[in-house]
Amino acid sequence: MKSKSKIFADIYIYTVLIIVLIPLISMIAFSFNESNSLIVFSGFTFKWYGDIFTSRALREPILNTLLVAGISTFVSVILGTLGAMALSKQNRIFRELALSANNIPILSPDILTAVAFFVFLLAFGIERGLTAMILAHISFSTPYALLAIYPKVRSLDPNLLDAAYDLGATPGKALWKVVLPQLKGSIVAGAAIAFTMSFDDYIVSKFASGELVNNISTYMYSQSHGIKPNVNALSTIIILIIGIKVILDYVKLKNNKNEEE
Amino acid sequence: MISFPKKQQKPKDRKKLNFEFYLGTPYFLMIIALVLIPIALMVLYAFTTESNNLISIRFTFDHFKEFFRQPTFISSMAESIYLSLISATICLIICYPLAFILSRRKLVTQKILVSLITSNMFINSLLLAYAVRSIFEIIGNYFYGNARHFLGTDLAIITGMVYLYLPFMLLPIYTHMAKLDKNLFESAEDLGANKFQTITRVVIPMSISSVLTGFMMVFLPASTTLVITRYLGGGQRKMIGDLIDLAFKSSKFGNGAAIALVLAVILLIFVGLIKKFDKYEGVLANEE
Repeated sequence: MKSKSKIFADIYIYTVLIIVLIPLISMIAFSFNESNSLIVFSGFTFKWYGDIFTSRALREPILNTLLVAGISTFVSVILGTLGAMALSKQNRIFRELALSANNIPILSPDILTAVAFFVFLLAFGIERGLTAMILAHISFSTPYALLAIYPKVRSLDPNLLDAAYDLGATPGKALWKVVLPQLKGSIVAGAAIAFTMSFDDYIVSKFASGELVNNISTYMYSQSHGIKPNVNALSTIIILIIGIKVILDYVKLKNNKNEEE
Repeated sequence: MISFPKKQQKPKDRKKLNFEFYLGTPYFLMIIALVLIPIALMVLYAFTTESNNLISIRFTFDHFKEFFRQPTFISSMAESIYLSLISATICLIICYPLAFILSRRKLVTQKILVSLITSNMFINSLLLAYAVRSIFEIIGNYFYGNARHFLGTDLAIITGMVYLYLPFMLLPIYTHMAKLDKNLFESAEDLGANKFQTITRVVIPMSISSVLTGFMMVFLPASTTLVITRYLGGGQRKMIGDLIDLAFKSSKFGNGAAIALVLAVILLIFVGLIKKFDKYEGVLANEE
């Protein structure tokens, strides 16, 4: 039998959960709306899902978003991994200094990062646009990737690396065959964070693109008459993908736990 | 499992060390070029007159003077801080008990509930703000016959902030609570504390630093948002982010950089103040 306090706790959890999910549910519901209003539901349709692939206005932002997020994730994961390995071997003072520099983009609000990057582009006469946007995204995603990978690098067993050297591996080979396979999990986690950051960013993209090219965020912002349901449809698909991934993870977690018991 | 005695640490091989250091070069270069230099340039722009070449640059405080002369700047700065402090407090009030309750559940239940509650993090923030706006529009339309009834009110802006940044409050506190040693509760009970005392004397003091982390994680992005005023401000509310945006839009780069710098300093002061309350940090650090 449940105790009284547990019932109250349950009520509290589920109340918060439902309230938190209201906008998400409304967003999904209106992706099926016949008219392009997000206030009045007038009929059920799948047309906005087709619209994602046929709409010309939406094609460029989607491709740009994927391109920017893809490249910046790839580069920042590589930089982050290399940086984490280099940092773990440095003395304490250098490490702390480097880690505080690393934390600047994470702690400072987006608008400060954006302004600083904008001034940087201005001072060096770099043209705003897609390349600038990719550079900006690399600059703020790499620190997250590094933070995801660094603890794992610190916990690696140095004896394994020594063993590889003793067995005649070159530094490059030792890195590729011994170190990287152990880091795989945290590299994937770092990539996921970097991708989410890039995907979710709006302010930095806006300043770096000079509003000459659009990704999804700047495209949405520029729609002065409000966001059309095709963006809702796109987000519903993304949420579905993330949802499936999360559910699969839990199925795995539960199975592992059952095996242990 | 057999455990081998730890091997004697070898004298460090210089060549290998160097190899690993060079590996990090691209990373260090990136941090210097894309993080540190831009910040230095921002400071430089804030203090200099605009000019096209380095020789004719002159130092000036004009950008700051202009900032403090205009009452709109001061008022929107104050408003940004006020609204985001309230939002952070509301997030804290919601998340603290929530994190505690969640951390007492079965592991699988915990994970599922936490990822459901923080699922908003994975939605683009613009879209989430727009979704919150459409909720307000639906309510306004239904009860007041005016879809824009709530837009631009404190209620709308604070609700938007709470929706957007709630996960940033929940995650640090929950992570901390989940790591709390169960033995602590037992020993508190053994020493004669009742449930309420256990919470006030054991749980709360130990979680102060995670609360402060969460508070900052909500306060910093909330006070500098562009997205929330755009969608929930109804076109009338201007927060400090909008002013910076406006300055850059009208090509007043020095001015924009100066506002950004003032903002950075004010936020740093807040961060410092918050850190000062964090008197248990040292104690916890020793325990780890």
